[in-house]
Amino acid sequence: MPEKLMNRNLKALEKRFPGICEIMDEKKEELLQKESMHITEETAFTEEQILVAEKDGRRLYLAGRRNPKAHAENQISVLGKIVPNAPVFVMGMGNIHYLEKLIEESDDSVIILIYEPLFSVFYKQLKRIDFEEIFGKRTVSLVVEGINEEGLESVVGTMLQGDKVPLMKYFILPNYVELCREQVNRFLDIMIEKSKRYYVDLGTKMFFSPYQAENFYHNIKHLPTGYKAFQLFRTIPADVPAFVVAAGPSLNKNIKELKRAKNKSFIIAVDTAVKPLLQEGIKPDMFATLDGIKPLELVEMEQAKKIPLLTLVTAADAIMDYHTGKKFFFDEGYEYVRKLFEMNGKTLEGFPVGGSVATLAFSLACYLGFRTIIFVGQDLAYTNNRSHADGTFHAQMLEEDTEDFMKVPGNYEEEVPTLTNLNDYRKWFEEYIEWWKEGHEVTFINATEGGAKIEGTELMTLAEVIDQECGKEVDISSCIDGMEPVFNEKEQEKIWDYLYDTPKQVHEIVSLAREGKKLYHQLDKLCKKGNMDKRAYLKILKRVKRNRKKIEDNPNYQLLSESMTKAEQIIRSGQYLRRETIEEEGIELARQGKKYMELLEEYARIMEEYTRKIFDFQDKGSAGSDGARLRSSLGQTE
Amino acid sequence: MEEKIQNLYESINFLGFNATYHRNNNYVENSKKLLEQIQEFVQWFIEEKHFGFEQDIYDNLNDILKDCETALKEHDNVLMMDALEQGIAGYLEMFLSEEYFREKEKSDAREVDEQES
Repeated sequence: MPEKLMNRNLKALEKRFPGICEIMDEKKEELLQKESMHITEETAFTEEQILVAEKDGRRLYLAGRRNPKAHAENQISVLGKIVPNAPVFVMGMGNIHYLEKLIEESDDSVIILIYEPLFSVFYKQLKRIDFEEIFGKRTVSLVVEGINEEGLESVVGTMLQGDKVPLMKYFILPNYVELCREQVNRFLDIMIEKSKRYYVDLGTKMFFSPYQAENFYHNIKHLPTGYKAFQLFRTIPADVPAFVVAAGPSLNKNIKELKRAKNKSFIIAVDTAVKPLLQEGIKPDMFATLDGIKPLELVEMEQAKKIPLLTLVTAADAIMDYHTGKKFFFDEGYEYVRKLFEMNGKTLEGFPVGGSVATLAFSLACYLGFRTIIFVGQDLAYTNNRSHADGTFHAQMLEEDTEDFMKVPGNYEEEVPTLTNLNDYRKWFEEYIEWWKEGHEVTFINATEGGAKIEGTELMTLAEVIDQECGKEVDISSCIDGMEPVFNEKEQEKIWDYLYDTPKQVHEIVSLAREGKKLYHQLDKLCKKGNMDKRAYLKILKRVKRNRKKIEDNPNYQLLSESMTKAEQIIRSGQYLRRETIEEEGIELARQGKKYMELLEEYARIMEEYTRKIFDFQDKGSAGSDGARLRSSLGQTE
Repeated sequence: MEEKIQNLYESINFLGFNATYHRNNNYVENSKKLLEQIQEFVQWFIEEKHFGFEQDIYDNLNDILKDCETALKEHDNVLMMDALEQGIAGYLEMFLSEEYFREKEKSDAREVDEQES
């Protein structure tokens, strides 16, 4: 039975992490010998088998004898709210209840990294637990000492990309410090380093990074009359190929060819590719935008205004306002948006985004059920030392010095220069393709005539692909034209009333932050007194927790916290440090807490003012509902 | 004795909370401060045989103490936490009045009300 389970696990792991079995076969004996750790099983009081690690005459439990689940449950509960898309780092799999509880308490969009620093534990668990059953369809990265630990840094880096650092959670299973202190420290160092790099990158920016929240509050007015991306499912026929057009430098080579695919396929372009396409007389069926600071100039063409747009509420406000056609939204994990759907008995579906506008457009094509998906202009590299196709940022893109760039295998060249972020996207595409192919019969073709190689795709020229795949006529525009907004008029009215209430909701955060500051002040005073009263300490911490929960439950908090990079830095700056006494920890907690609450109050005030400007109106006495007055103040027509 | 039991119970809760919330790895070290109180409680519990508990209860307590001893020797945070939170704490709860838990609950509820008002 254990061998059977192990084989099943290995098969599952091989699918997720190709090559892992071969490495394990090769290194297994050496690693077990090197660790010289004996992992035994013992029956707990609950009758389940728990693990015990024996090394150098020392015997340490990896799970409690009396209740193996207890600490796991406590640990996950003190992590606080695990928001959608949060990266969660777990060190150790010696007690699987931690993972079970984590998966139970987080939604599918949460990305989990499990780092097992003890190969012996990993090897033992292969025979004991069903990995597929626990992970399901979750995005889980697995790093095992001796097998792929050299990838730890890059996986952590990838998971903390974008604005993910403030969302991260981590925990280390107890006793791992005792068993492998060096690896624990390395793990913490990597997280500190990656978090620091994120803040350094932001260092030269403003104190706050407000564009995200500002874009959100500015753009939310488009939602009531908007559409869900998933409404496109079965509205657009999926028996034609889908072209995902990015703006890589190779687009120059075959852009003209793409004209032949129009009305014989679904063409979705990234925002940066819109201008070059329109200049060639090719109107994509849809375009996607994601970046909150994307300049309007990239899409500023009259013909672009009405092209259906796949977008986020946090996309660049200028693009959102310029565009007057149908806007398609998907779930980005914002509680505020979810509430707008919930109040009308509706849900907004999401799908993996991948961090770039090209990955977003590609992911939508997969979810719409297309069976042939073709990349065009998806270089993911500096082909001919250029970053983008002509007609994007400049009429003719200039050559750049790529001598110091990393090099990756190319589609047509042995190797091509690229940047870390582009390379991360390439890896994302490869993993996604592999995952998608597991449950769907889809052919992925790369018709980018240059750039970096994407594993899992067939390489063809665009002319060949069009000849082969584009046989059937299709009128995508008329399919989309016939669609109705997701909310009817009555539902829209309800939403407007909720939007109008936003400044009041944000003001509640201001009040809670003030209250939180007071609590931390009390905590500080208590810890500085000699012979600390533990009951009072726990009491304050409980109140802090409740205050924090109230703040976190406010649908506006998520936006504020994601923008408050500096404030999160304060919280995170001390979290890895290990302090000697409980009093010292309390004082540090109070320091961080007070600072955080001060910044939260300040930022919430700024946002309150901003939302008042956006949502408030002067003429409160005029007739009509709040929503109607608000719409009128925002220049929206009924 | 009731006050001592209450103090010990709260100290065990506090240690567990501290280890989890602050990710403090010194659970065994911190628990050393409680050993004297645990010893006192155990001695009292054993001497007061007239409680009428079955032998299993005493054997189980003995097992918990052995675990504490092993955990100290091996510096095993998991075993110590399990012995105190899932073991000793259960024995302490037997001697804490319903009123204590009711009060605790009330005080928690009061705090919630205060927060919400």
